[in-house]
Amino acid sequence: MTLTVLLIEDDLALRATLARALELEGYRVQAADSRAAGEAVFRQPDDALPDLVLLDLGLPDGDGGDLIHWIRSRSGLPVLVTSARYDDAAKVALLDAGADDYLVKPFSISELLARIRVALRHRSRDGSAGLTEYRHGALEVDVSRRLVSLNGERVRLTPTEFKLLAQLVGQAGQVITHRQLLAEVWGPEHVGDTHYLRLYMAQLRAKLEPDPAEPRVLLTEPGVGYRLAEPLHSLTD
Amino acid sequence: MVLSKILVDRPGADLRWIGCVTWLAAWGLMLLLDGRVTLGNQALVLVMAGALAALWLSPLQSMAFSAAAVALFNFFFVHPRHSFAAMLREDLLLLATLLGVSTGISYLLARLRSLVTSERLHAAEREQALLNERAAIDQAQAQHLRNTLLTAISHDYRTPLATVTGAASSLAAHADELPRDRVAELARTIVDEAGHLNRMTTNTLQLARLDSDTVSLQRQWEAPEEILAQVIARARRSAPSQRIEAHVPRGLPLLYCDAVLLVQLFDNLVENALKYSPVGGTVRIEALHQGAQLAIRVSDAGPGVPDEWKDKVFDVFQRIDSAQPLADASIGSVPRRGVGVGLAVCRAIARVHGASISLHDAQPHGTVAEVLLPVLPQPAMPELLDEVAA
Repeated sequence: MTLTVLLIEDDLALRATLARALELEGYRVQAADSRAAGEAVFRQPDDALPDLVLLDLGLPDGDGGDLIHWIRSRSGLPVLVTSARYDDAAKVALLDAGADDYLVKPFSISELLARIRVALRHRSRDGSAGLTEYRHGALEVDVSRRLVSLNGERVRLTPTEFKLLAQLVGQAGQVITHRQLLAEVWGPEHVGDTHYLRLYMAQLRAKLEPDPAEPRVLLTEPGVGYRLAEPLHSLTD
Repeated sequence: MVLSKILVDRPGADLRWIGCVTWLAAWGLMLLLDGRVTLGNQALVLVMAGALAALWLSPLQSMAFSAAAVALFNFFFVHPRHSFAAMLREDLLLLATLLGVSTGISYLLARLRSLVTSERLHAAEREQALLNERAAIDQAQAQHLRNTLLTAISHDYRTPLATVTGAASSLAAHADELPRDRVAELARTIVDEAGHLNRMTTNTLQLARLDSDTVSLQRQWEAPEEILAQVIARARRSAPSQRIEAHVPRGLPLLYCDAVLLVQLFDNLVENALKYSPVGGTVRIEALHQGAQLAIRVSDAGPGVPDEWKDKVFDVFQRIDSAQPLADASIGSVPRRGVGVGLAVCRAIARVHGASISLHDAQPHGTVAEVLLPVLPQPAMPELLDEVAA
């Protein structure tokens, strides 16, 4: 089955290049050059809806944030945001508003394809329960059985460490903002306490990373949040 | 305080009442003292009242009050009382004294007031002049930055653009005839040069942004090891063949900073160190907690930077001329390109974080870039005691 990507990008050259690259990878591409044109796509019958939205942050007729709310109020489609460098705050706001992931311009096509694959994998699972099993090299996590092991040996985590890891596993490969993690693990009154995250991520890395100073699994997205590396099933990564 | 208020405020209607009250109080005192002290001493009260009231009255008012005081003194207190029978002539001395003292004081105060007012005017003028001067300096600096940015665009950007144009036009014109590996090589060149242009653009924009007064930082509590891990990972990806050693101890204090900016700072330092390292040389990244400071050092085993350049390299678009003798000439020449804006951005980022940045000699040769970041009192951490590993 061919998957359809709705590409909302106002720059003609970039839109054409991305569309061609995505088509080469076997995706069907619907292109829109504005927020209004993007919204028009959603007025089609349900079976003509795209499978994923690639949304530029700097559209001439809206900042994209409203569009994400608009899309989220109608469907659970994955939305990837592309943005220029200095939109850090806006980028985080869009992620908090429900975007699945982001890419900073300029990005390579391989990065884009990897993000699309991860987003589609998460959405192809019905419901939003997220992943419950994760494997990366020598690390294995089974959230439902509360099992974490490294090199086949069980790793003991505190309840908070486990809760944090479970959130990351649920969206493995995708960025989760500080605010989202803090709200889920410590509660909405702690969304500003990023130092909690620094402490617990350091503890998790000490327990799960062979070299905590150069993490391979528990990745930092400066100014945005954290990302659990995409699952890897082979032991030789 | 009171005196300065008197001096500064013009003797308007709002303050004249104090002068009137002073006179009234003096008359009250006169009545109180009547019969208990000699007439001469009573007259002294009038002199004192005249002097005090003059502080709040204009010279003309003082004279009027003094004259009235002498007449009333004669009428109420000098025998025969309730008449002007005693010749006013006898009070002439008292009148002269009263008039002299009160008019003199109120005249002096009036002069002082006008002096203060003109001094204030001058101060305002001087302040305006200073403001104008500062605005002119700011404008000159902005002009200087604009010029250096233009220099950058015309010089530093043209080289990678020329490379991209060359490679891309070659692909466009001869894609069919070129061997497969040559096509891949040209494409690789375009990707690399575009990356270089992107880094330069990011730095140039950041510099312009940090130079404006309205820069807003996204400060949060950040772990230095996370910032450095980001930098190290990127360096290993971009220079897989070079040796990069990291010494980042666990348990470093958190920094209250803009993580994106600090990553950019250390990216630039490490990129520079990699560029100046000889083949097989090691780039070293280390962090050290020293009291109220966190020292982060990036060192290379390159040719080093001459002392007279150690400060200048942080200026926008300064670069060490290849004709300049190097600290250790035996290391030979290394490509120097794009130093222009990278270190200037580093300094700007350090500045907005209250940090310092400086270059030193490494042993036996090479350069150490040291950033000293302030360590603030650490935030309160969640309670850990009730947590048992399960």
